[in-house]
Amino acid sequence: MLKYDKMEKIGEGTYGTVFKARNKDSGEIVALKRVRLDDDDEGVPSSALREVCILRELKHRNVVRLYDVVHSENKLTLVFEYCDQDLKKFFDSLNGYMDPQTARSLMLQLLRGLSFCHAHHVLHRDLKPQNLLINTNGTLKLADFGLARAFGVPVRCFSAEVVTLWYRPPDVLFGAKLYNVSIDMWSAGCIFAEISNAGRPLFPGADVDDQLKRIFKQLGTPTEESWPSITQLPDYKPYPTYHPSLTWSQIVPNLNSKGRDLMQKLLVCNPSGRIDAEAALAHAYFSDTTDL
Amino acid sequence: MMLRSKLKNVQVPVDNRQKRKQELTLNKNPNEPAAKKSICDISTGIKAFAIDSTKRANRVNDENLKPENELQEGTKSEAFIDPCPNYDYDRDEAHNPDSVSDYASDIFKYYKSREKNFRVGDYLPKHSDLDMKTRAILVDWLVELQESFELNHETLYNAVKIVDIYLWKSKNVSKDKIQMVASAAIFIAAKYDERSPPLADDLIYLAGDRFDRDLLMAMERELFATIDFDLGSPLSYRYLRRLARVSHSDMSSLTLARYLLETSLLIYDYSLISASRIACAAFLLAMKMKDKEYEWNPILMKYSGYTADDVLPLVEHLNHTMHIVTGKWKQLANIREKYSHEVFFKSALIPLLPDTLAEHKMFAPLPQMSFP
Repeated sequence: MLKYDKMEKIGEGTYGTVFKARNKDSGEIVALKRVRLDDDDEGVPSSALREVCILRELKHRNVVRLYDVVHSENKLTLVFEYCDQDLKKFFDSLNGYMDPQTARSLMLQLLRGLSFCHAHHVLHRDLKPQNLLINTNGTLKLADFGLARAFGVPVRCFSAEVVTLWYRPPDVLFGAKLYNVSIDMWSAGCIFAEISNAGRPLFPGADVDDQLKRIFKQLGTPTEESWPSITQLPDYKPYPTYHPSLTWSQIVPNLNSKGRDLMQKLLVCNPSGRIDAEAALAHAYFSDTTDL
Repeated sequence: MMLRSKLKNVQVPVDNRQKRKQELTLNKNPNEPAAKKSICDISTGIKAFAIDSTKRANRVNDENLKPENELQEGTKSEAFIDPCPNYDYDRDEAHNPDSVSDYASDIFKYYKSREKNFRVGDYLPKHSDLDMKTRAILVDWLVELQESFELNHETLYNAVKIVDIYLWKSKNVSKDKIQMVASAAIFIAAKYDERSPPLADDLIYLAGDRFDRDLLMAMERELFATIDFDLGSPLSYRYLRRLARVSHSDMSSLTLARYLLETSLLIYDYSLISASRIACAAFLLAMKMKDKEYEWNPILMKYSGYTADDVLPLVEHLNHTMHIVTGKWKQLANIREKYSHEVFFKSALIPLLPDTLAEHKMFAPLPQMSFP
């Protein structure tokens, strides 16, 4: 990587280490994601291969831009546009209060990026604040496509071992392998609540069981009626019938009623009832500029 | 077959290779419509064929020889008028989450807009050691790999596309090298789409140990760069399924169309034309084989963007090609054997339509057509 001066390590992706670096010619700051390739493994890891291919295709303001790929015998380096921080670090700078205008802008950008991915046959499958980058202009970008994949129409079974626990939807927690764009919409709903609460996670479960309990305690335990095929899911087990003890205005006190309505349309246990990104973008929460 | 797909979460150590070789050859499931003949003899097979010195002059048209950026797209200027405004398959499917109905239409438009990025030109003249039959043997072998590793068909179609792009962008690739190119192609196509892609050692074994790990990994790097790190080429297989779904065809018709489309992969000329168009031809030919009264209709036009005139000459051509392949290329039997199995509705046993291009003793020249 003679073209770049490595500066400091800025993090670890799903695979590989990320460095801040400067392009020697242009002076431009970039992010380098470096994947070591060992002699005895299987060549390019599929996570890296998919991330590269997917980001070659996705060119959008709200998706991190892949500038270049350098592939040598013992390492693969992805050259990304540099962003100052991720959403998690941004939360840390807020001192516990998120301005409603900013919250809406972040959510709008998240959904725009997501809608673009979905219309271009890509599922992200690992949305969480650490994977949403924010630059100095306040532009949000979806990043870390290490678990992403292209899907066909109709979709077929994929891995159930996707999405970081706190942002994983109940169907996937129950082992569902047949899922679609709804998998990302659940994560978006969790992130929406976290944004509104300036970084307090909505469902910070300790394990799969605790995760499901936390979800059902807030949303009510789904039934065969609200979610017809639920008992057929591979890892389904019955949970006690919980009734929500907190109202949405208690959970997200800084969010207006339209925002709460959108959040409830995202956080639907039955995946077929979850709103998609395009419809979410058309929601009144984004059209009404006065009522914040 | 005892491949990695059957040994979930079991990492096979390298020194177990000999043992695994035996498993690969011994533990065949008798119920599985898998490859029957020895897998390793592809090079012998390729060498046995003389190079076709009578390469046809006007294979498609001269513009395929130009670099991609010089090509003018055959775009249609008139606005698209919905030929079937009262039918909306995706709206009807809105209740079915697996249909991704809100995005399906966008995704297929997106595929079609990307076809030009993956277009290959007439590359055989650049490779003195290769001819259309060599390529066909190679594709036939890829079909065998797809069956042996139980890979998705998307992976097979993608691998063939990767080989074609590589050959279009390189020159003077030798017969000795192309099996390694194909192995690396299916290796990366599988990593893109499969949950359990094949292991390098298994691939090398099935290629008869004609190259080692280092060479395969170097080939993987070369291929990945050659395809410009983009594995999302629009696959005819996906278009075909779309046509079957929007027209509510039954599985046996779709499977017959899949047999025809997979056979079309063997044919070099078809690698030069649009994936969506050949999918339409395979679909219509299959439907006509099932019911000779079947016609191209407004629904198919709506969802493919092609008129009957766009498709019919290619249907006739594909039917002729099927006669030639099944009559004169009998030794390339993997696809036919696969689709003779009950699992595939014995599609390969269904009689072809009469050959209207029988005056051509071998393959007929492609009809003139725009791209895509």
